[in-house]
Amino acid sequence: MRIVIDMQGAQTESRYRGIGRYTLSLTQAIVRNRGRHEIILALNGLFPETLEPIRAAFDGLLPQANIRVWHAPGSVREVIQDNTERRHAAELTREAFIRSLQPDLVHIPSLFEGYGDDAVLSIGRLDKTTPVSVTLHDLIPLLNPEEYLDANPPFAAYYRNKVTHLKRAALYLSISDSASQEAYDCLGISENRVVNTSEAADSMFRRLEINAQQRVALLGRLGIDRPFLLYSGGGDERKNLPRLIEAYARLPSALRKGHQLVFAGRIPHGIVVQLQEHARWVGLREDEFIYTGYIRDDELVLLYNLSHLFVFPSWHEGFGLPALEAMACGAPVIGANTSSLPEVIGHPQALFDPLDVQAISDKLREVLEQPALRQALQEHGAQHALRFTWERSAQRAINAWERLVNPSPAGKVSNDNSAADPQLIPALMPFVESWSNGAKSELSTAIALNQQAGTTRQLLLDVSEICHNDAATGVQRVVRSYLKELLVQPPVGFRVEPVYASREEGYHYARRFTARFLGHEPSLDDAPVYWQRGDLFFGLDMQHHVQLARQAQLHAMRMDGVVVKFLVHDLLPIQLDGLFVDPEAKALHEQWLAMLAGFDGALCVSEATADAYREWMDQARVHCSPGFQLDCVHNGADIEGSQPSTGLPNEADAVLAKLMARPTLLGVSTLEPRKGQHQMLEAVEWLWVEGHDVNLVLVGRQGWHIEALVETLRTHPERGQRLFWLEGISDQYLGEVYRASAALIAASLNEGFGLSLIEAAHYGVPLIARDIPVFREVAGEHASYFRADSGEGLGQHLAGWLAQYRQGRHPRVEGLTWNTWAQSAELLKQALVERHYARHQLLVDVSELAQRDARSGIQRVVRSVLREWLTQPPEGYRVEPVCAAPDEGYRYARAFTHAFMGWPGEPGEDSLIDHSPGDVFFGLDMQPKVQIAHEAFYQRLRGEGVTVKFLLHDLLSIQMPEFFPPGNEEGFTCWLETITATDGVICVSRTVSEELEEWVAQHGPERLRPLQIGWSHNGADIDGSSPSIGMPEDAPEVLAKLEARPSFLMVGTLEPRKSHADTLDVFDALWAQGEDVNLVIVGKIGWKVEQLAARIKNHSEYNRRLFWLAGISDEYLDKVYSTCSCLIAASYGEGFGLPLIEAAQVGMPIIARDIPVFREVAGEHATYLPRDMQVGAAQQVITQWLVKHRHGAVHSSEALSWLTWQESARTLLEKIYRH
Amino acid sequence: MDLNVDIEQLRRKHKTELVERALSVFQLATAGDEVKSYWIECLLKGHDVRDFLERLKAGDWLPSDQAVPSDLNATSAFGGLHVIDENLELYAGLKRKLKVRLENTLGYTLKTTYEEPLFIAYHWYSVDGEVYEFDGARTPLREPVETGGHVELPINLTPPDEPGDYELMVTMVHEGRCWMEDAGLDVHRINCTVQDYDGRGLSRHALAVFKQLQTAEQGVVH
Repeated sequence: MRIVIDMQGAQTESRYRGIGRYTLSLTQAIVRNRGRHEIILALNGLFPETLEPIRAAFDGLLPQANIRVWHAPGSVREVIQDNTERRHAAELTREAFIRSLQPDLVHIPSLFEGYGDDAVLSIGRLDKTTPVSVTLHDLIPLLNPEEYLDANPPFAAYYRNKVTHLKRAALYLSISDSASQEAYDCLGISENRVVNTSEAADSMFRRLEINAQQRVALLGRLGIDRPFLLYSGGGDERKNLPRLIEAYARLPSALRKGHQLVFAGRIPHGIVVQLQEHARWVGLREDEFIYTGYIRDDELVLLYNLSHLFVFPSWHEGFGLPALEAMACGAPVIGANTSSLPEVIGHPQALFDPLDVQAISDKLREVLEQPALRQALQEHGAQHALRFTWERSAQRAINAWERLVNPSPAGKVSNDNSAADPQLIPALMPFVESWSNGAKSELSTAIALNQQAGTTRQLLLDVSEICHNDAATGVQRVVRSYLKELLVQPPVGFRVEPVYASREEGYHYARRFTARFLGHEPSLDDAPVYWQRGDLFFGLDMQHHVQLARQAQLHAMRMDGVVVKFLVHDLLPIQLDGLFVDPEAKALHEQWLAMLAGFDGALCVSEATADAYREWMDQARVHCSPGFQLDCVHNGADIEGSQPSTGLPNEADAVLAKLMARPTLLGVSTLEPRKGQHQMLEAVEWLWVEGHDVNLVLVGRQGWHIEALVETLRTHPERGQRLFWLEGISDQYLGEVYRASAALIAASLNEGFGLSLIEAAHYGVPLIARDIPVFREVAGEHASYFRADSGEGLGQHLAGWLAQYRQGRHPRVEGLTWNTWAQSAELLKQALVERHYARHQLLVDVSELAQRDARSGIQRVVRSVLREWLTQPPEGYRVEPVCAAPDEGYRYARAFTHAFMGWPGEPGEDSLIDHSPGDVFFGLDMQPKVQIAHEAFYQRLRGEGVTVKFLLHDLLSIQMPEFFPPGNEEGFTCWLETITATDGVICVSRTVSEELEEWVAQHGPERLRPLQIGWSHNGADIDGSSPSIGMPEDAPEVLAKLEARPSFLMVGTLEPRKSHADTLDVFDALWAQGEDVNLVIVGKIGWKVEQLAARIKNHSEYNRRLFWLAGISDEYLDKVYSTCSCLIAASYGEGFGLPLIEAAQVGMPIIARDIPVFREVAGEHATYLPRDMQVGAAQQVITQWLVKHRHGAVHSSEALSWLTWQESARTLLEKIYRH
Repeated sequence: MDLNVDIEQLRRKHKTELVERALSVFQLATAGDEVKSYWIECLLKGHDVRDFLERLKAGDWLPSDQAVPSDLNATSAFGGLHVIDENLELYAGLKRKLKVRLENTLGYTLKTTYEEPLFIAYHWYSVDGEVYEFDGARTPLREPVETGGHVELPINLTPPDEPGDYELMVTMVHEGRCWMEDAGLDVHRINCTVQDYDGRGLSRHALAVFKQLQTAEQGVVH
């Protein structure tokens, strides 16, 4: 059972009160006790600040995808009259959304919301079928109209309207017997529709050991200095607080002197003033009556624990939670003997008449003066409270729902529900038609978001051919069979919608055809198709011209997130060119297959067809869209399952008798050259000449290019004797023919599938088949295969087979398995929605790269990872590069992506992004200005159920601010705060992730859900990262100089952090020492290195033994790597250390500064320089290295392990998806 | 990479553009840098844009003593509520955020409480000065503004449903008690042109729904 719980009771102002606590605690317990039931929480997006706390409250209890947010244009609060139309629209929109979640039951923990806030709660306005259960807290205003309703007509109208909705509920979960009774008495509801599920105190309400310091701190702050009587709760009249004050005042003064009366909680200011005046009026001194104001829950727990006596004088409660909370904290509790309190308090000596001041006073005195009674109440309370638990309440609720709802074991058939609910727009019209376009646009956005957040999607089945013309071909038999199965049992979460188009008109819903197909009267018109992200279009019918004509619309659908797949029956027009009636069949089929490759996938009816398609695409060099997948699902084969035709002709008996008189060889298919009937006839004629007494039966209509054979058959001397041609017979007659036959001959030159083999096997008829891959695939070892192309050759094979047949040694069909149509449909559904179905988006932020490619290290990572993800999209996700500007929202970066990947055709529009729960937003590119500006947007995405994560390259800007431009540290810190407020940060090394963990512990933003910090190494294969190419003219000369002596290579932009100056100091010392070595610096000039640049260019060794190659291509760099002897990585700090790996790829030894990230990347495969780069020590390290080098004994870096960009991109994805 | 978003610099740039445009409109482009920088500084200090324009219009484009206009010296003129959003593009009925600056010179802390909510709100007037909509959408004051303090924040704004020219007055309301312009808050009216809305700014999905709504409204329910 799928249960949707409306969480608005925990979102409105009620979240600060008992109702909010009830909603949250009960729902958490329901989730804990859900068993096999599925729970979905529906949240109102008009309370954005409550989304994260509620998500956090269920973190680890319920998948975040089960928390769905719906939207409506606000404001809708009923207290403002102008909101009426918006509220109506919101009620309809909410119900449409909830229905799109396909619930078996909806539960509303608090219906009476929305008067003074933007809660939207209704029952049965749009969805009149889904059962709704409501928690019944109380009907106090209805029972006391003079106090709650009469004086406030707008509130009265609101309340009475809510009661009307309440009456539409199918089930009531009351919180006490008293509340149940109110339902019977006031609403006339029968007892079997009400279940007391009670309430419970939260587990934080318990006895505590409180030390003196805590006690003094709290009580001192509140002005409490002696044993106190406590009340907590609201201040409205039914709480009966003036009588409590008066009763307290009537206590003997000595008793009063030893105590204080304390009211705790949020009571409206005006009422507090009245209560204080009343206290003075009845003679209480200032310090005898204390009002604490709002206190936190943890403070309330302490007060309950410390109170001498808890008093709850309310004369009407639905439950009376404070009394239970006080008992759970070990406080002695007394209260009114009315409504629900006797069942909650559960002790006769603890009760008093709330309307009798003296009775209250007497009870206070009795308990205060009798320690034994006080202790008895305390012990009773602690025991009694144990009977109320949220687990018990949840179990009672679930049991009641199970009794109410009895879903079919096969699950819910979704065809009556829809994300794009066709009823919603017409229902909205009376309320919104006068709205401005601006207001309508808000409503449109809300509906679109709701549809995205809904769980239902459409499966659009293209039936363009069959809905106009059922030619009863093999292809249409397949279409009919799948259509029937899919309509009866749609894939879970899908609504199946047959659609059609023509060359002239776009796709329309085939509602009239569908109704007729299912034997219903059409009730809806054939409206144009409406689609949304996550829908699936499946080209079930093969209609080349139509689908080619509608290519643009199909691409528009795909651009909008619809997954587009097609069924491919065969490639015969290509494979058997010239054997088809249409001379353009081959060209058309090729055009169609090429078009298909531009979408998401093709499902072939056999592996042989898929192989042929694959081979053809390779040969024809067809461009495939990324993620295009070929899959295979065998057709079904039960004749009954495909709606068999019936009827036998008059001569049937006579024919069947002749067939049974001798071995009958059967051929079943339209008469066409490619079917091989001509060869079959020649073979049988040869058999007859050879003296074999056999029949040949050909079943099938006349096709094309077959006139000569037809003439032969019509005039053949054996016709009607041993040769039979049965044209257009019913499935029933065909069945009889099968039963009378000795063997089926499948002589087709090629087939997409081979249904006739399975049908024959279905009747137990042995198989003789041409040896082609698809027949081998379908029949395996259960057929006798021939290779001959001539009649005589086949005749000889048949003669051999007949000999085996007579001896019973021919291959048997027993054991040959095949799918029923229901089984094939199940496999088809899996292939459609479980494999290669990109339901979600991986939104990849490339805001910087889309604007400019600075060819920095970071952008190399972005380019490489993005290319991998676009080339091989992750299963279930569509990779969508997106970009934004500081003052503009995120858009799809389609023009950029198209150019970046070099895809043919036109890019789609760079439209604003949409998103739905389960999508992932990943900040691959680093664009601090944009990302800081969109911090609120990331939080909104998280609220909607989108996972937001970022890639972090390093923390150098804050670790080594001196190496960066002024202001960089502040900006970076701001950016870091933005990205660490999301779901996760993936770092490019373990070192950086550890550093980030430290930073977050000290500076990270406060958060309710934990931040995932992970790491994934960058890739390092130059080829995989879109390398730049080009060599300067002097390259050969330079390379020759590098080869002349040991060359030490430094790769990276010239900036102080890279420590070029220190390295040059060391090499100056080496050169002075007489070492004949080169130092080669590769890198563009960065910041703060003017002095260094001048030093290099004016150096006496410049271009002799000191080289600076600025801004060279990857191709040139590759050559430099191959030429140099050793890499020097001297950076003070790095996020990763790509040059180390690039050096390892060419087996170049590495000398690196001893910093953690270099140790992480290079491990034991490098020689390490001292971390302080002291010249003497560093010089010694290099000198020693040179000695080893001369002896061929240096450390090789070849064994250093590294990732390709493909591996890196895949690892990164795994980290991103790890929630 | 420059990581600093310099708001002050951005404000100055916008004010400069505004002054230059205004001087050009009133054919005072040759008025000289003195006039230009005088008004840039005035506007940066919160001088009412309308007053600036009125003065230019009246030829009072540079007071003889080049002193800051007298109202700028008065405490109240520095306080109050000002629209600081440079983008005043409005579409009929299309909600948006509008940046405002609230300076508290009222002598007491401005704060909202559960019992006494305080909101920023606004009134719309038609060009003839008649009230078009008095009860503008509320934006809660997220944090107290001490006396002498200020806050800049985006407020919720719903433009009128009909396109046309209007005046907007952003103000505050002490819910159930009073409108703050009646309690001494310095407020201003600004001219606004509201354009008809055509579905801009919607995602493709939302635009599809928008078109469905429009089609349904035309009675052609698909």
